[in-house]
Amino acid sequence: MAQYVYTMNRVGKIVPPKKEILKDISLSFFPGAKIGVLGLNGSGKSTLLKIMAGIDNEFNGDAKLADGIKVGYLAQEPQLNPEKDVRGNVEEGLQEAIDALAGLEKIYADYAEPDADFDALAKEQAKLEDIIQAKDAHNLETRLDIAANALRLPPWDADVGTLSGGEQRRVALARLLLSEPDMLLLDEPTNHLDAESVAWLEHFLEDFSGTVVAITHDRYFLDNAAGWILELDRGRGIPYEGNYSVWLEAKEKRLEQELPQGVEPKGHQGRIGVGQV
Amino acid sequence: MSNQKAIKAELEWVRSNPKGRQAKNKARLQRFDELNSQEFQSRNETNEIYIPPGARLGDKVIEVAGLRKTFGDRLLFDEVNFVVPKGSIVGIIGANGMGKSTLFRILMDLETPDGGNVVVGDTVELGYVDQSRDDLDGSKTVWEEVSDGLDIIRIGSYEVASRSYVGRFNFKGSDQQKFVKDLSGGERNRLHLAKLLKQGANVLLLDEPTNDLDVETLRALEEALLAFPGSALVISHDRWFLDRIATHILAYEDDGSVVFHEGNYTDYEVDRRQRQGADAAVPSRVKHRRLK
Repeated sequence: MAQYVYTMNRVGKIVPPKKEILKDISLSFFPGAKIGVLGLNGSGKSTLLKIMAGIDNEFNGDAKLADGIKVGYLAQEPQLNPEKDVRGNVEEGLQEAIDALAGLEKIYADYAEPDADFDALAKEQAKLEDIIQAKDAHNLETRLDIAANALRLPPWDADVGTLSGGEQRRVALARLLLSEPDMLLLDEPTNHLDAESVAWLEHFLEDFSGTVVAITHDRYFLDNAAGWILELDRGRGIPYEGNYSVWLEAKEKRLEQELPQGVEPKGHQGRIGVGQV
Repeated sequence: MSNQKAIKAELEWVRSNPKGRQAKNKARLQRFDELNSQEFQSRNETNEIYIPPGARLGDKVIEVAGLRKTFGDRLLFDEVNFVVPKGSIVGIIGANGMGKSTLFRILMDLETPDGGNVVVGDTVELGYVDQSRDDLDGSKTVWEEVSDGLDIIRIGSYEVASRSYVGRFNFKGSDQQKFVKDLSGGERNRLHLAKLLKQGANVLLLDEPTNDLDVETLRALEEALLAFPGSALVISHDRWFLDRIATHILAYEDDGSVVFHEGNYTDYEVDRRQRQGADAAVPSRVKHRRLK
């Protein structure tokens, strides 16, 4: 695996008329790092995540995703597929596994054809079986049920057009988590989740082997699951190695030294995340 | 700096163990007289968020017995029993749609239960902050929305400069001139609190006040509630917030029962896992009980 899953070099973002919401951010993200993003309203947190998700391409500087890294992004107002019900939307997260299962069924049927090319079919079968193995496709039903319960999804056959904003977010989150990307970018994942579901999500992300960058105000999540805090302050990104408690200690010290009014924190270059290299 | 004071208080909490945390929350009930003292209140008036106290609260606060509510052919809740002690802060948790807001509406007499009793003490002045922040007027400034343009406003039994009152909800200087339509979710939330707490209450019903707040404001709200010389019932999904403030938890559990527990959220969770065993680790989809 690459040394970094994602690198940003002097990334800045200016919105009209002339507001600089991100300034000169240089950060490298290790695989497997769990990063909580903190900052006041309007400090550019969502913009940073949109840039990382490849949705916002209008920025200064360079940002690069490592080759072969699959990114999953939860927006504040995620879009669902209105053509499908709740189950159909969540299943999109498992599309590769579902396609492989269907493909395998077809191959079994094709073997029975009089002019079947057994070698070609066996080759294709092995390929699909690998995917099924890797994606744990035989346990799809169980995994769907676990996600639906843990995130308290509406009934499977519910029309997504009738769901509340909170329900739509929960469906989108389930779809995203099941898709198992290499890097999860989460914009306020705990909004509209109750305490039990947040606790479940916290454990899920703790166990998740990929990289997580989450904008959240949930301090237990930041304390238990995060190994790094990235604080955005007036456009600058300041990484801290440690959880919420460590960050709070550092913050207290910083306030005690009392930066004079109007002095902005310096920009930081940083490598963020403890590597699973 | 008030911000620094709040950080120190949170750090002190972080460094204490679960037992110490329990004891601290419980001590609030014994220290109720101290909370009411002029001296304590004036020391806390400079906090980032300061909830104005109402009239002195008597011993009897809220007593709920055998409460039942149905919704169409669904049973929302049944056999809800709890007594809110003077000075307590009750955290209310549970999945969405189980009737947490409905309970508040019943306590406010905005909805009628299908059974059971609610007794509210004679000295109680309820302050209800609902979830809908739609009634804020986008064309007004923050200051106008709270003060109605008056320099001096009445908070319960005393008068206060309106700009100073608005400032207590962390709207400093030019922030008070911002138009309501330009506010972020967190700012709207704070404005909503400022507007509704103006009446001066001694028992607060807060419906998801923690939504959309950043950690700085959450911390300030915790300090404000801890310094408040009354009782509060607070619907929230924020476990850290609940652990810091709650003396009791009222939990809408997955099987439809409503449990009243003395202790904070973590303490409640330990108890729930003991009662429910391994199954308790994963929440389950909400299934409403049907009425026959």
